[in-house]
Amino acid sequence: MSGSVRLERKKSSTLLNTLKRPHTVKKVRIPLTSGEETLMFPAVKNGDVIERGAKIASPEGEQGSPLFSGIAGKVKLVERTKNGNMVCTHIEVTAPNDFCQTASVLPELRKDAEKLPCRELRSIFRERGLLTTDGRAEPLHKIISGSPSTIKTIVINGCEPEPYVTSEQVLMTSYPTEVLRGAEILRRAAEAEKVIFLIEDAERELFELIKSKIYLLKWDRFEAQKVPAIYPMGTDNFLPGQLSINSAVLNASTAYAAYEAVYLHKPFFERVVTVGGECVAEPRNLWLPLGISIRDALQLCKGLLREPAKLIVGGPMKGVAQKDGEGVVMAGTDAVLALPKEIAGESAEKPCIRCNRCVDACPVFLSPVMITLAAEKNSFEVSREWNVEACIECGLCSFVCPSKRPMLELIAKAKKGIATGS
Amino acid sequence: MTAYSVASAPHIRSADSVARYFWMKSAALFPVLAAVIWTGGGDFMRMLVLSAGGSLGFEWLSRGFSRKKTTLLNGDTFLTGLTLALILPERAPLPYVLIAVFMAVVVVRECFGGTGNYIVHPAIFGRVFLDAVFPVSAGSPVLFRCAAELPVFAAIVLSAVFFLAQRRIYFETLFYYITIYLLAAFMLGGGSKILMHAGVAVFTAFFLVTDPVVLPLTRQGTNVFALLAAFFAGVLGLWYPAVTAVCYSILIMNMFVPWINDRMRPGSRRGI
Repeated sequence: MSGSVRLERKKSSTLLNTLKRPHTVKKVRIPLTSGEETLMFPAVKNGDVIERGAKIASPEGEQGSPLFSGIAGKVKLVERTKNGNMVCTHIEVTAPNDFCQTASVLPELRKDAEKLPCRELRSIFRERGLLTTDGRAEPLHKIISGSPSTIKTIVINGCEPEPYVTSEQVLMTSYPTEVLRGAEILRRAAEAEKVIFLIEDAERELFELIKSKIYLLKWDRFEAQKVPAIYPMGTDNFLPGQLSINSAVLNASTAYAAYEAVYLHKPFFERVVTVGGECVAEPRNLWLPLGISIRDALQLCKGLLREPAKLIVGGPMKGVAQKDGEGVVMAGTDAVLALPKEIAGESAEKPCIRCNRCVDACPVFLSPVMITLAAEKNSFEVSREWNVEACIECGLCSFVCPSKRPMLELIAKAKKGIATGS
Repeated sequence: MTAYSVASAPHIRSADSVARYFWMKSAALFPVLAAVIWTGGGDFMRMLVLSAGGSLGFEWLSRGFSRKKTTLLNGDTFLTGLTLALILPERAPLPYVLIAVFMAVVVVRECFGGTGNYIVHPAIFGRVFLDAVFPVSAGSPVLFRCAAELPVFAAIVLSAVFFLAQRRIYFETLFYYITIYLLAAFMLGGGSKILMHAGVAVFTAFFLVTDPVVLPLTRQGTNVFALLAAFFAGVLGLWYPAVTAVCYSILIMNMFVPWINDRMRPGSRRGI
């Protein structure tokens, strides 16, 4: 199929081990941002001792979402000087060794959840700090609180076309009913007409599971659809045909978080993350509190087998390489990968041989070769003529390029050049 | 923890490489080379050594003079040498062969920046240069003369199958080229030599037309390139030997590539 590539999936290693919620996390470090750059104010003081799930920061105004701590422990505010004032940039919560992080007693299941009006559901989303668990990491109540006529369909995106990443798949397999109930909550909150679950054709068992659950629940507004397991289908809500029109595209993990917020009164402070890659001793999916460092996440999987060439937050196609293990897991983090040199090592760049691979692979029908050849010469106006602004930066052109040219870097350079008018 | 690479995404790459492309294409030519050695004997062996060795030598010297890192290992120059050997007459005198190799490697490849930067097919340019400047020396090569002989024809088809299996080329481009070429040859009176034309068409479609560096940058553009190249080859075949017609037609179409690229952009049907 033109405009896409079936990548090697490499998912089996993380699926061998079951989903686990570690209780040995000793420290989280949460940046004070909530999706977009909304101003956040600490709701705790230096030295406060807090419970798991305690509110630690509140947003300014109605747009942002509050932040909650994923562990119990002692608070430390990290501050720095900005414009002459001390501004809190991070909140650290550290659990002393004698602190027990085991799950607190489960709250009682809310009985009237199915009768709550949409306004109240949205208010719960805001109060519980729900963020979308995709790359956007935006407050959920903002996404679905548009005028009711605009969102006709809630699309639950179960596609994970990037190799290694299985967090959505594992969550849907482990908690299918909860995900479905969460999707129904999202539908009612958005006043949408129907819910479509998108599952990759490579995950036949998951597709059958979701279909059977829909059948058992007798929810005729729900349907499950198969989509080809090709990259970049599903990433950053890139979907086929008409699916994205008048739809809110959300991940299955967002639906699960909505279920927990409404039925279990649980704030959003943790998510399922795939910790994998060839260098990880025991690759698996983990429930990780937001703010846990990559180094600690890797330690929870028994550490590294060997020194990786790259530490990546996100998938290998679109993830961000980290210079060390100090980066933290956030709402949009679906994976933490440690990849060895033979997989993620850098190759020497060769001249373009105009093989057309990038043109054939581009899912939005651009000519990456023309755009990047112009960008190399700083001819950003030529890049613009070749429609560089329509690029979704999926990275397929770089992936398929036999010359190993840094296509995505050049595309970003062209976009920046156009934006700055240079 | 140590500091890791923070290069931008994607962090994984396909296993494909430039060297693999050129070496695999050279490897696909093995049946043709074997058949032509069997048919052309020592003369062709001499031509092969001169052309391939000369190409590598000229590149090495040229890169040495300009103090650039050699690119011999990527296989591009070697493939140019092989292709040139197959389209030059096997008994061409040594100086003429060296002139053709020099034009192909030094003038067309290196002066334009080496692999990926030339604007016309180097081997074809070398052959056409010889044709134009020293017409006496440039007869038909053994491959084109004997394309109708069963072993040579079978070898051409086998090489084509090997190259097709590498999935480097659009199937319909080959189909268009071969169909139009044979149709033109048949309509213009070449019916009696149809097997020879078939062999030439298959070899040209697979190994001369499909040099990516000088092809248009879209599928549609490549198809238009092949259609017009086949048409020109058929028409020129009325007056010139097959090899000359084929080489000139490809060179003519190389000139149209920037125009095709501009008119036929991906996802648009402009200009079709």
